[in-house]
Amino acid sequence: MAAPLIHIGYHKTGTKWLRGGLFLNKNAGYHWIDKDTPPVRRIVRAHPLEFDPEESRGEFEPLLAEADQKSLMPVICWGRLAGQAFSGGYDTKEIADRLKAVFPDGRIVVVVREQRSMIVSTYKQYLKAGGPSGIEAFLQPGSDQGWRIPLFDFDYFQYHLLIGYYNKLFGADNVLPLPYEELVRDRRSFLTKIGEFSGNPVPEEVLAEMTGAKRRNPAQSALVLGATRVLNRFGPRSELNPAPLMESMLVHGAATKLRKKLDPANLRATRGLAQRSEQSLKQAVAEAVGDRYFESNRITAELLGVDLAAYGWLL
Amino acid sequence: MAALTPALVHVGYHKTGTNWLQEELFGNPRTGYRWLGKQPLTHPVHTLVRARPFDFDAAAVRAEFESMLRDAQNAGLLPVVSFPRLSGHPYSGGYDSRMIADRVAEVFPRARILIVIREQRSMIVSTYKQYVNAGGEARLEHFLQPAKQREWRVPGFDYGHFAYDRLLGHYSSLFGGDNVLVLPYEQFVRDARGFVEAIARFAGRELPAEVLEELPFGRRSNAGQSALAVGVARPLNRFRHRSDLNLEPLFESRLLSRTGTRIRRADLLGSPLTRRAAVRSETRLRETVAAAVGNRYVASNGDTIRMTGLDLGAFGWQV
Repeated sequence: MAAPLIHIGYHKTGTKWLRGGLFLNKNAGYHWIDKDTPPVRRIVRAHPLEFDPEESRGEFEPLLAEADQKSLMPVICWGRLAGQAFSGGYDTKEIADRLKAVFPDGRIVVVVREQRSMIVSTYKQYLKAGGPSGIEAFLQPGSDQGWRIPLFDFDYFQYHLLIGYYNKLFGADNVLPLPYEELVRDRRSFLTKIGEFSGNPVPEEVLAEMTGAKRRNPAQSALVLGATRVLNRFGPRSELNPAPLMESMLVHGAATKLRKKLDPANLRATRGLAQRSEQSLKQAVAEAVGDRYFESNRITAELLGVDLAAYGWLL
Repeated sequence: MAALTPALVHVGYHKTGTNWLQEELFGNPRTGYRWLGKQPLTHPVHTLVRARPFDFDAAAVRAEFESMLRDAQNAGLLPVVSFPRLSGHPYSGGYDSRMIADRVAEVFPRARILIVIREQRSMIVSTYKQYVNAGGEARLEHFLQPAKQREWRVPGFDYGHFAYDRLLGHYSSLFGGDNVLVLPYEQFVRDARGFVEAIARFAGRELPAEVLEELPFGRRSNAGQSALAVGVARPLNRFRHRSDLNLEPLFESRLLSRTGTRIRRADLLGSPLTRRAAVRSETRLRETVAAAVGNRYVASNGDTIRMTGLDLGAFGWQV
């Protein structure tokens, strides 16, 4: 049985686009094992005192056999496998260990992204998902916290630690780290590298289709997200918003609609304001980030064998 | 260099008389023990919890503990690491309890482990009161079910944290069953002297009779708060400072925050004016927790009994 290709994320690095355009493309030769199937979910969700790798392997076997019968390359693709930024990646190592225990011969793809841009995108996603905090509070949640609940942590984006650990577990030849910026600038090269690494080269028609395709997960404007943040206090109770002031489906529905329909960047009257808002968010993040990733990025650049500075990374 | 005396490591749980043990037993040199403390925040006991998974360095942590262990040994005292956070945290479902156990085993491979457990309904009532006391805003039902739909993005309360057999089994697998002592908190409440004697026998450091006599068994350093006070003060938590339990206060007000503290500290059960309401509120809280718990722990408690030989049924546990 073929060992699966495992694309672990990170979140906000074009994972959905890759899944939809490549791994679910019937002409690409992959067999996507749905991230919503129980065994994939359990890789993340099982409590550390309950996870059983033997049992997990048993659950995956028929899914891998199905791919084998179709002569397709099995692939698991889920950004959550690299941890979750909203809780500081508390389980990234645990998940890596589980993947190694279940798929000792797995081949790993990990896509990283320059941290300032990553954090801006992560924060926007947080607001979209119902988070109530402003950017400063999001980046520094609970200054006196007693390590009771894991929350955002800048260290989560020290990519060299995760890549280094996967290299140690699976062997560097079985780990392909790529910068998201390469996907943005040169999709063909990005896709070709994944195809070659997996031993399943991407057919020309798929490459043509994907290089011409539109983005699936367009970014929302900082202005509309910021303006509707206050409405999250009336949204449904969630892990990001465990104690809303009041739960109102009406307000929540209105906020969701506003976010979907309204893009101030498209309106002449608000375009300037939208740009200022975007700029102000980026600036706040850049100031908070400072030079904290210099050292990590230097090591990451070596691990990737890529000139990350040319992609605008700080190092 | 002589080998160091293996430490006694007391991992919790929270809300099981930990403060009393730290202050009156392990913190009193006359007992023959030395609690290695937890202050300041740079103390290595915090590193066992706080180090990020990729950063943890067992040898470095061990080296930090070394001088403390040696000082205790030179003073003829048994070193004790006592920190309930080592068993995980109930507000985040004990997500790191296994990782911490593995770290404890790496740093103290010859340690003897003490774990104090407590009947789950009473444990959850006490945990919720502590949550509000610490600034939590959620009412009980929401505390017990932190999200309408769980998405595994941020860990919250999880009933599984109190299925003790899982963690006890893991510690036994790491240290050997003979090196793990499990005691029920209810024994501490009913017979604190017997409880302390059991710890001393296990640790191999019995207390002199006169010292045992002098221990303030009746003192409780962390008196329980009334459900009424907790319920009345909870909305004022929206004005306390931001924390991991209170991500977005409405605004921070010292006045309102202090008012909340005064309410929580008020003896509403002791006052004739508020006693009836306080008793009703307490009963309601306990009933709600009991209904939410149902019989979910019966199987786990059975396994805990099999592992420990404790007669938990006699202490009012669901078995």
